[in-house]
Amino acid sequence: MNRLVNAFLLTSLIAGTSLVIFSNHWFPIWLGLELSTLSIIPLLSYTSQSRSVEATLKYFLVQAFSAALLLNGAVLNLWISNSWDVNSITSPISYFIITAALIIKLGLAPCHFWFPDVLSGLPFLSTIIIACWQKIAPMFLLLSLSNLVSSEIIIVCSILSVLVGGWGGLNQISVRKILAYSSIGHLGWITCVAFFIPEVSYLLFLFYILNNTAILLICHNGSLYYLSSLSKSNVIPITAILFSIALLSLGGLPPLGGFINKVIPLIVFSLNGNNFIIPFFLIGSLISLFFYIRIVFNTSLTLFPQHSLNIVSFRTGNSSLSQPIISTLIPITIWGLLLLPIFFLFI
Amino acid sequence: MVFYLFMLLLLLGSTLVFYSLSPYYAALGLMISSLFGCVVLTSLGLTFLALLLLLIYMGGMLVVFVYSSALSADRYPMVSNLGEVVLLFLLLSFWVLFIFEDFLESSTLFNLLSPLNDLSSLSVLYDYGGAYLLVGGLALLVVLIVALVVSYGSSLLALRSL
Repeated sequence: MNRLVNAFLLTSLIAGTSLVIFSNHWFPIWLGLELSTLSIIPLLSYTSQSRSVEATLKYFLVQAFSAALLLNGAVLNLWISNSWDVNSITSPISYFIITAALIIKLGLAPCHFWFPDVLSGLPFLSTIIIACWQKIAPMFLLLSLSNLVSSEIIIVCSILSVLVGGWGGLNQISVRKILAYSSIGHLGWITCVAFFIPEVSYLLFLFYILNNTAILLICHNGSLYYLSSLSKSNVIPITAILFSIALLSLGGLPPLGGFINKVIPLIVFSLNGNNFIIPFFLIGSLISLFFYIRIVFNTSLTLFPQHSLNIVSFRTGNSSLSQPIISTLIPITIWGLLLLPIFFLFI
Repeated sequence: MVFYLFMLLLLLGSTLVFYSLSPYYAALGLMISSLFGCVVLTSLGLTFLALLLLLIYMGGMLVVFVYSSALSADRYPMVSNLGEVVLLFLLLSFWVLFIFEDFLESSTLFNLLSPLNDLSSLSVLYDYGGAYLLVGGLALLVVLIVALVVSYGSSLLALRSL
């Protein structure tokens, strides 16, 4: 695509998300959500392959429907409370409609069905936009609504998301679908804290975005579209090791940074005396840890039958523009646990 | 009472849009829903918005929609399922009526005596709400560029001629 058009669309994508974050009035929020949806349509479908175009169409339909539902809830809130203000959600019905719209937009269960379909049709750079950037605006709205009204629907949806993210990713061979289900599960972990302390959710979401972006960039570098290509790919060897570590961090293993995403919600639940829901989260994340370890196993711990010339490779691998970004994001996943004391400002 | 009849006809138009088999009947449904939307707005006293809706919706958008559906739809469209549409519409309207039964017995306001309700708030759009116009204009520019890129992106996506 033309560079100027590309730059314009990226700028309007950033403008749309900023419009959502910085507004107090429901109308610019809806406008920003629609602007960000519209401006990534060419960015997703620029390859003109039928899979990408189909995924773009599905994405657009889901997002447009949920934005209309959001506007509907905002107008209903206007009718009941005479205010367009975001901080004045007075009636439960308008809160429920707006929350339902945001749950569809985020891809939380039970409205997650579009997410693996859309992600599996897109190339990896577009996947980064959908899975990381486009979640900022609806997550921000969900958390700012949780500041006002604490409703149990968020906990129900997050439990379902963690379980769906675990069980859904078990039988997949496409790396994009695995990462989609892992994203669903992670969003479940992030939104469950919103019932108690929404500020903590912002930080957990930031961790998730950094971790996920690093992994998706590494997958983009090595063109790791399927599990079968994990052992054949041509990346810089240190990236292969860091990919495995980043995946284990995504799974939530303790000395790595992703453990924060698991330990902070558990601390918040047990401090609030809500021990009953903890086993659901643990079961879901245990199942998802299995398929992360399956990827690590296929990447670093197995050697497929191949020529001995392939085992010793003198090529240093693909080093592209995304390599510095990967190199800055990975240390956060490795040493992120040192940032744990920050969370105790909020708890 | 007549007010609710107009809104029911609006619902009929929308049902025709999403449930009909051929896009020509969907365009007819759009026309019906926009017409009755205008009637509803007029009966609330918002005459300027009604005229604006009619001009832009029917005069602009529907013409483009009918043209593009003529380019892309079947050459010999299927006969419509109008009976099913009407049945679905009746089911939806009865469902809603049974939920909101006690709400419907309250009186509605017909503000035909003060027809400038919409003009006084429209002026705010140009005064304090100038930023909304700018952002709306930006959004429309983005939509234009998106539509052009999507339909002109490569030679594989050329519009076919009938």
